[in-house]
Amino acid sequence: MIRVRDLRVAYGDRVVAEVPELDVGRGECVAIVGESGSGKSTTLLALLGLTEGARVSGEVSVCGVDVMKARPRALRAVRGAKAALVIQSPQAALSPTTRLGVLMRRALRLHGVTGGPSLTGGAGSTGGPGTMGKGARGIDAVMAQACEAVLLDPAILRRYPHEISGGQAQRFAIAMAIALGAEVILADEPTSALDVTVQAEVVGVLRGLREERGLAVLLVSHDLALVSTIADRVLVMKDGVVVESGPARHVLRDPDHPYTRELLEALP
Amino acid sequence: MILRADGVTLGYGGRPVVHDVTLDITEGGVGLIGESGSGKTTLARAFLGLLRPMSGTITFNGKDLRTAGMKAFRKAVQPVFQAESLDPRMSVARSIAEGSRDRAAVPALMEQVGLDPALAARRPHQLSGGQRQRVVIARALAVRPELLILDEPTSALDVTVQARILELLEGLDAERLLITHNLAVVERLCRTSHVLFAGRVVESGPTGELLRRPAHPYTLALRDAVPRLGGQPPVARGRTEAAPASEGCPFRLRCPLAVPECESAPEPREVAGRKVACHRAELVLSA
Amino acid sequence: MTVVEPRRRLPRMPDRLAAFGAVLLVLIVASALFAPWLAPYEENDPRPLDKLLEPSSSHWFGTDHVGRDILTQILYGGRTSLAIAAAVLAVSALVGVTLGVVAGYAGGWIRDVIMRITDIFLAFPALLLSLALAVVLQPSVTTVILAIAVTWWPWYARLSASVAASVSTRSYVDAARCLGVPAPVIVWRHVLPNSITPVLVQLSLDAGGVILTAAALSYLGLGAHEPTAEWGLMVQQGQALFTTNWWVVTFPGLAILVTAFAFNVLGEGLRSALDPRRTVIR
Repeated sequence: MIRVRDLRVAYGDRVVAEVPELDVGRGECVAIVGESGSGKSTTLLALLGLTEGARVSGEVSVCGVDVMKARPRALRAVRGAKAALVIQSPQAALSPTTRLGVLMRRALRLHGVTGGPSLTGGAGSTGGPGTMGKGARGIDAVMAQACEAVLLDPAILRRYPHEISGGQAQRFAIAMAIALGAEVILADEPTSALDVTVQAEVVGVLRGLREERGLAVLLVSHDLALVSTIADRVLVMKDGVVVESGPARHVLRDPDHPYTRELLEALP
Repeated sequence: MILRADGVTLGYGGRPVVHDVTLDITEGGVGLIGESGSGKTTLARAFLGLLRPMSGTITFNGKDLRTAGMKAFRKAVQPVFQAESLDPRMSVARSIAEGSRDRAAVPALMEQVGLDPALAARRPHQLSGGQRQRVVIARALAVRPELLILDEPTSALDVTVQARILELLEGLDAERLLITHNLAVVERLCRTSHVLFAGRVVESGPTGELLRRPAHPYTLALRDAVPRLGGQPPVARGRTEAAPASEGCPFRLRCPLAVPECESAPEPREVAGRKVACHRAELVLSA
Repeated sequence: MTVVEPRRRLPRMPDRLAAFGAVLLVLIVASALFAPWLAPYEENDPRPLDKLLEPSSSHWFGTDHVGRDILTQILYGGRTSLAIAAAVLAVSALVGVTLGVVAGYAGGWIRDVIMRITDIFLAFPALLLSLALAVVLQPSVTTVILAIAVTWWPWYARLSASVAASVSTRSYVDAARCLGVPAPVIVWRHVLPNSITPVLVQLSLDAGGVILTAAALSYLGLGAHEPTAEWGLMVQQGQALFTTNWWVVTFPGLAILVTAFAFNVLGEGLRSALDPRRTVIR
């Protein structure tokens, strides 16, 4: 679903991220770990063509779209629907005066999801919204189903963004991605602002979606312990460079690079 | 013991957020564990004399804070907030000397917390997060406090930086009250811990025991939600959506073990070497 | 291999506008300061034989009804008008910020009392209150300054109270309290310096308004009076002649307009430049 070769992101003369190789397949979870300034978030944004003002080179393909060459229209389709970005605090990105249900419906319309079988992108493969009836009732069903997939009561769609908790907002963001038929979730520190018990719920939802829907997850996190419990493969970044990568089991248990060892030993 | 809360209820604008808390700051470090909204920071503010209790008393060396000499108290009890607690317009040296008004002592203090004295003229934005946190610690140490009240001192820092700050904190000879949601940090710095839920202490006891064999279902949920390196994925015990119950046990709406009995508020009682406010403590212990 | 180059971007609109406003202001202030050297004629030098001359090479902006050179009067009048604006802003900022910062830090009943007083002043229409005051006192430059400052300070009190209240919740203020720093020192050392930026922006935005108000009062005969040169006064004297001798009222009017515009543009630019939300995602 994601394929990156020789990605290089620079602001002026300063190279902030250099990733020689990164692949995320269906149902896989790959994590980029590192400390602040390591370039892990920049890498994630570069995958969606969101690094404004930067010089980007290399090959990046997300859901079969060449991000580097794609026209704005194709890029928008990838960003909004096929590959969903989940950020640390989604609440700030939700319009405060609009109910969640209205927000979701607008997003679905914008990306042509009507609940009808022919129009939904990537429907058949994800088991997503494709099988519903037509029109408004179809959309309502898609929305309700998406909420249930992330363990949210669909009644939440009648609420305003400030009336929900951080964990609910994070799961709503994921539900939105599912309703849009996303095949890839790019998550940047999705649980860092949450309490641990709430984090456990969100992580549980992500794991479930991987197994049931074959969702690919690219996770950016500073939390090695968390990553060790959910990622299949790990890239460790420091100062913009990938210092080590490989299966999570190997990298986090028996690291080759001294920096990875330092990170692991620093865990309290 | 120099600081003690006795039946303290705290709140803002007449609405209580911490209910009837009694606890001593004992030797070997005391941890206040809780999630956002648990009232842990409010309790810390009361211990710092920044917030007056709605009822109950905070005593310092046996004297009620409302009548005790604040000068001695201010010198004895100092906060270590997050790295953001520096005035953005003040130089490192001015910040550190703010309480002691002794500029001459600044270089020695900077060295004590592992800062190069050459940074004295810098402003906070010219420092890294870890360096800022060290300045915050030096500012508190400048007045030679007996007790440090640490409010999430490392949660905004990178892990490698966090590890070094924890080392520094462990080496200081002042007593500690640590407010955090990070169980691993509490385990390192505090011999005794109190778990707060919805403004009430639900379980107190020796930190190691408490985390190894929780007696309160909330402590258990917290512990199992923490991801461990190479361990099982974190477990979500009970939905977190439910708001704390206003009557009876505050945790009962989230508790997977709740029974009708939980509609009456549980009194704190001694179970297996700790104090716990739960009707089902024995069951939790055996789990 | 594909390379995506960053798009080149021009400086933002507000930055260019602010720079333009700043340059304009420097020119205006300099021309007022150096009026004795720049002015082609003496100040207040009526030449009855030359009255109401059209703009020409010897009198660029023409002459007024008693034969004074209008360009000269505008340059000298700028000194009065700008001084009035500076004095009004200084007085109202001093009073408003002092009260506001105290209210914001202290909170509780102290804030309630201060803010209620502020509300009372705000309840009157500003110009009406200024007019009433100006009528009661003798018409003079000082009267204008006082009359406007009375209606202007509550805005600064309100603004600085809300900013100071939020600054007072910062943890460095708590840390200072825990170190036993006395409240007045905390306000002076931490709260005031960290609350002043929005007030400065507001001051530059308001300067234009003050000049217009001062001009309005002079225009109504309640402020500066002969022989003091002042823009508002000049407009007042020239208005009756507008249909026959347009230049007498037009040029001082333009001076007011351009100065007010320069201040506003600078203020807007400052506001957007200092807006913390204006950060680039990296």
